[in-house]
Amino acid sequence: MSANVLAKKPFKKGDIVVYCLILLTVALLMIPALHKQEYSGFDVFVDNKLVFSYNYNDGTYTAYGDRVSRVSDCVFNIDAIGGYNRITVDRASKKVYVSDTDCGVSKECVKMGKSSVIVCVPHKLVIKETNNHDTIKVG
Amino acid sequence: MKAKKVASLSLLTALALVAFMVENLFPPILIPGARLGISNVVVMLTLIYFGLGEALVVVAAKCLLSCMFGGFLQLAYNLPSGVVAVGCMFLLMKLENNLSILSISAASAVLHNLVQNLVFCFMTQSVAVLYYAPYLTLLGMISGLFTGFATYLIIKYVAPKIIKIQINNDKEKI
Repeated sequence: MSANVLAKKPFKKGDIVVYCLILLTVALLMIPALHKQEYSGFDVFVDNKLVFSYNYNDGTYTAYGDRVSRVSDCVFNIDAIGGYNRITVDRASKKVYVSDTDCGVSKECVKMGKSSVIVCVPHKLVIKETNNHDTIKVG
Repeated sequence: MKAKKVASLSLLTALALVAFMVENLFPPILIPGARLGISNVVVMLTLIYFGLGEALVVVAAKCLLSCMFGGFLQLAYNLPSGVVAVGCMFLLMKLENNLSILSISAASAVLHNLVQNLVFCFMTQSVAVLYYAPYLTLLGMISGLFTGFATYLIIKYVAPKIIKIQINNDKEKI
């Protein structure tokens, strides 16, 4: 591992193999990602316990325990561990996102946007979109 | 000689830490957690000029110190991926006659991102986080090429001059 050898050229023949392998990995990993479908609703977990589930189709929801309160028509406040996360439901595009939180400066969960899985590590909060909401009764 | 090495390694660690912290201030590129990884340049230089053990020390020190500023979770994300990335670089550098520093850097950045994704998947107990993997791989390749090119420029133009000055200094002392 000498600097002299590495400083010679910014491109060598073997590079092609490495770049092709990386692009192949991207392509392989893309296959499951392309199968992403539209979900019928989502579940909210705090500390691995289900606290809330929502159905996009008819706008019905069920709250388990007293961690969740409704702020407005499509905004819910979740009292998670060590702080709150405020989630907003976009029924038209069948998506949910975290609109506000008090977990500090990074606010990764807000930056995640409308993802099928949203995680807030400091508050032990997980939001997962699922398809098993068709059977859930109005809460 | 030993004191000099310790001083050099601590300087490199400080440099890696500063690069890491400054980078953290910027919003992530496109997807959460995605970064350019400028501190990787420093780690690569350590690996090239000092060796595997020293590079691992710098990575471990960087992760431990950054967790003092960013919380314990930072350690769980950064340490495994950092160690794997250094291991990957070390193994690929054995093939240095056929591989350029750019591709070595790109491969290790990709591996770094994938390991971090796996840790995230494990921490959140959710497989769906792996949907990020292809994007992280692609971004890792781009950022790896960038940091690899930066390293290439340093070992070609900057480092030889520093080494020359050092040798001259040593001669004067004797």
